Amino acid sequence: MTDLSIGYDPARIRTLGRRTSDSIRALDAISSSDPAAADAMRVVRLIRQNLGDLWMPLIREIEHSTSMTDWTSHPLNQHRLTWIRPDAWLTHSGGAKDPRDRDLAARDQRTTATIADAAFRSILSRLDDEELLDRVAEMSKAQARAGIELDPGDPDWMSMLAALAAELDDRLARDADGSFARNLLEMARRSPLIALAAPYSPHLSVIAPELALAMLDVESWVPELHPATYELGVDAVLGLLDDSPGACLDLLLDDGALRSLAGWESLDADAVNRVVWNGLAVAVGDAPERLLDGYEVLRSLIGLANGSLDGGFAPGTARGVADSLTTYIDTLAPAVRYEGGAAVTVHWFDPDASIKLGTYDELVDLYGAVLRDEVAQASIGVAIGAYTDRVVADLGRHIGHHAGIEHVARFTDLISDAARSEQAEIMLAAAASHARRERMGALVTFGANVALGPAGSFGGHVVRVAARTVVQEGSVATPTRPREILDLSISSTIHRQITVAVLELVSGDPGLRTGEHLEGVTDEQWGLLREHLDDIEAAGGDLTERNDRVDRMDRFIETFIPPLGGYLRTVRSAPGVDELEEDRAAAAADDDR
Amino acid sequence: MTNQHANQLRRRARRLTGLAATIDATPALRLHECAHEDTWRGHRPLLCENVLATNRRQAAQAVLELRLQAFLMEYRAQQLDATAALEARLAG
Repeated sequence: MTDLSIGYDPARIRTLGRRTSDSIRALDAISSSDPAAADAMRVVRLIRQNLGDLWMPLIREIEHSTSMTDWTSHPLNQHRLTWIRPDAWLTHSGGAKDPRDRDLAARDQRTTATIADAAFRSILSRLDDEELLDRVAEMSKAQARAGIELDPGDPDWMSMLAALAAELDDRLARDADGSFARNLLEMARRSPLIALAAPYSPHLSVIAPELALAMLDVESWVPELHPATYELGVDAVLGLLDDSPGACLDLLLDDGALRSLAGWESLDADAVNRVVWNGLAVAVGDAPERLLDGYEVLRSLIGLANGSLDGGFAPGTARGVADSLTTYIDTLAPAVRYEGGAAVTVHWFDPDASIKLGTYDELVDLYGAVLRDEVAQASIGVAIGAYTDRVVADLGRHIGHHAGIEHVARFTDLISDAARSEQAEIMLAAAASHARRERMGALVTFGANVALGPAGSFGGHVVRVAARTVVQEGSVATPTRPREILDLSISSTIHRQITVAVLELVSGDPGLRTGEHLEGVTDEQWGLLREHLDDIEAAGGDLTERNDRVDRMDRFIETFIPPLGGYLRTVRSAPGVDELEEDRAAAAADDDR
Repeated sequence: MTNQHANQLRRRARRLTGLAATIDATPALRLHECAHEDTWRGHRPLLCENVLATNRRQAAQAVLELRLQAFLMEYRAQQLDATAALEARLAG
């Protein structure tokens, strides 16, 4: 086959047609009614739709086409060359003015588009580098002037982008000194078409991080551009960063880019979510020495939350920060000591390494900006719930004597202060309870631990999946009484969770009872405690019922197993745990009245 | 000693694992091997290939999540069995 920008091999097309048909049949045979498979089945349907709507029609058209045999003799006359000039092409997208163009488009638009593709490329290839970039910038301005929105499903647009991408790709491949790439990056701010072409060009994809930086780190808007097209361009390059977590973290470290990602509400939330998650969690998991960089990003976000973005972050950034909490919570929670204007300084395994994030109140504002988003609420709730169980399990026999529980309590208190609505409190509590029921404390890894390797990312992934499940299930109770509102707070939920986790621990491991004055508790009493714990487990996702059963168990222990009540008081005497109970005490007082 | 809920979770885990394997092996995810520039060229083939590449990433993610869900179910089943065994010991 010669080096044409369009073409096909008839024998290979026939094979492809057979395999595509076989693939569609195989996809049709896949089924599952399990709710846990809903997302997977949606992907199967998407693939089926792609093959049915895009692949098969094209393969059938090619099989029945003679266009390639006609290609070399096709009259590329002046009329068509005029039509495919970029300005005229844009005019055509809004509706061709010349009746001959309309007739042409109506009669044989696809063939024309194919020819336009090749001829447009031919025009571009004759321009020198500077002319090419000027032309691309002019096209973007012309598009904005005409008010034409880019439709990714429009074959005209795709045709133009594919031709532009091919031309840019060729020039980047020959760009030995990098000068064309530098000019291209400078131009990216003035022409989103460059970013939009990136997914179609391997060489442009390589410089996607630089493209993203160029487009996001903007001090002022270029007024000649079409805003929606610019956003599509940013979304396109962000989508290319999935496999580059280190580049995502570098992007987040740029103040301008971070400000755009955190405040630009109309960017694709999923794309931004992945960039923030990749940068804050995956990159630090891959290279734990970059934890400091991760904290630098959090510090910048604190600045934004206490400044221009005090109303909240865009959903993608909020979710990314929340999903990444498992990477930071084991170093962040111990740093939260005093409320108000007290400084929060994080230390970690390297004794010389520390970073002052800001004050307690500023950290509250950071999570306040994050917790405006429902999915972020669920992620943070799951992370705190899992972390609570993990801390209790890790402390084991030292639980009443070593530091740990107070970190959970103080961090929970901070998150409770940050939750600015009852709905956020309830979602946090439901998610924490979900983490408890699913025993996620044993599954999730916390912190940036090089020894864990990929397991670190897996743990964070567990939280992400669980949080989405909580949101999808919509298992959030609607409180009808003030007592329920208080009882469904994250602080009272974690207080109860600490109680249940501690009792599960001592009831399941007799070895832990030694030295805790629990030797006097009889087998019958342990059996009765077990029944209460099972009763709590049986409450499932009904958080109000679960809380009632925990309180019932608490009263039972105080009355009938005093040594165990004393042990619980010792555990709860850790700093901050009492504050978590304040909500419950207030609720009980309300009940008494 | 196993209980009914644990068995049910294990059955669901097996089905999800099977579904993950089926999706992983579905021929659509290998179509790209016979659809490259020796087969066809042009903007529409490129669009087809790019959409399929996106589908392949989505499918890989879906398979990972199915296996994760299966793992969580299996893990939960083990917890239930361990609880049941402990109860039996205490009762005995």
